[in-house]
Amino acid sequence: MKHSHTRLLASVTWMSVCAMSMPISAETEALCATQAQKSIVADYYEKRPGSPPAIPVRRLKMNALTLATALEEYGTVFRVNADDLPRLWGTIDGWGLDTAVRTVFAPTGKSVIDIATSVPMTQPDDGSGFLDIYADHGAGVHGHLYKSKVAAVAVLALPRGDETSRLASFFDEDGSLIFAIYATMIGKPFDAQAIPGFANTVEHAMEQTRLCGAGR
Amino acid sequence: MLRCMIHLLQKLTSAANTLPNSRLSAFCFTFIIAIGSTEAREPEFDACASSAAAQQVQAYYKDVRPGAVLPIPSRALGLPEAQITSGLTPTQRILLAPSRKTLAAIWTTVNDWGADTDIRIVVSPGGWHPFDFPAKVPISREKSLAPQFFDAMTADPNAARFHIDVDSLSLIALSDTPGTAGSSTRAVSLYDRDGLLVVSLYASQAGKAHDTKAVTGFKATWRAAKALPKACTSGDSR
Repeated sequence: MKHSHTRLLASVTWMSVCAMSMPISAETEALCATQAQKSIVADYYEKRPGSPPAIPVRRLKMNALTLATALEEYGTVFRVNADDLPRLWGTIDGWGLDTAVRTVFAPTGKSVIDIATSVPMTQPDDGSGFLDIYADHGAGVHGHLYKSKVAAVAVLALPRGDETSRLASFFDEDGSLIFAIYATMIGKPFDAQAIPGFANTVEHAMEQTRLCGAGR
Repeated sequence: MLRCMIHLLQKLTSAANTLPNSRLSAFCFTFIIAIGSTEAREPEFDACASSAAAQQVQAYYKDVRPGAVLPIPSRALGLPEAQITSGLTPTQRILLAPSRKTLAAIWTTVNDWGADTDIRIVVSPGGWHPFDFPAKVPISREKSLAPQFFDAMTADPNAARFHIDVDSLSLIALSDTPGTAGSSTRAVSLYDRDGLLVVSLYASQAGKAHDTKAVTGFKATWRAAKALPKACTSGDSR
């Protein structure tokens, strides 16, 4: 599929051109949770600690990015651009080539597709506009993130008792979840190798510009 | 809403307009606008390709990328993926109206591909970010996580899990597009109400190695699909 993308981008459509020129907009910042939304989310997590965010997104009928910004006590939510994204993913590469992780997709915010994989590792940039990430030396998943369409990232550690779900979630400009990569997921077997790598991702994330100001 | 409409009507017809209930007015006006916009929102996305879109799709598959996996022409042509699948020639696709019964019927045949059979699972969030996973066949579950879901998971329940919201689907599609040198791309795909891909199960992708059990199974799924309720049965591309 990577090769096809290269060919695809050779004949970039007007949609692509528009997308690449779009700034991370005020529209995305407007998705920051209000105090009322934060209260709703806090109440949800008090009752159901550690829930994978896709569940309250569906149950509370809340925008995925908005919900993430209501969870900042558990991490951070920050804006990214096409230059930032590879640097961030570089820290995920650091979780380890053979490290088992989970990827979660939530089409329409309603369905859930949850697939285990080894860490998808950054591939050389071919100038196509995609961040290509392949697992298992190319034999595993082939993922392609269109860099200019990724607006924000949440890095969160959601505890429940002795367990913690550790995840990085990627959002588009309208706050929809593109996907989340879980270093650990409560209730699922996990690879201990991912934990120190995730700590480095958190460290990187904390240095980035938060999406939402302190005043909201 | 009726109270709001009466109230606003009174306000609009009042010459005095003294705004004794201005806050209620504002609320009601906003409420009615919101309700009105919901009722008057654009018609639900049509997953069925127009004849013009179908021509584009068919030309792409004939001249540009025979056998391309579906997210590629979707982005190249700027069309939601549902319109790519529905724009294929009638011999290359079967389009089914989504319902729990139909999805269960199709997935029963997918189960028969074999729990140990290799396939590829493709998702493409927003139509922009394709992910293509090698996987085993997710087998449907009798009980789902929640009533709105149709659930499927691989024999190793930690490998892949699907919770598909049936009400969010606009189309269930089977596609079989020829590639080069006798290869073919065969997929069962589910689309949401914006025409975006929820998930595809690929039995084969043109130019890539595949499990023959998946292709044999896909052909049985194709035969079974012919008896199920169809989508896109009238209009341009049907």
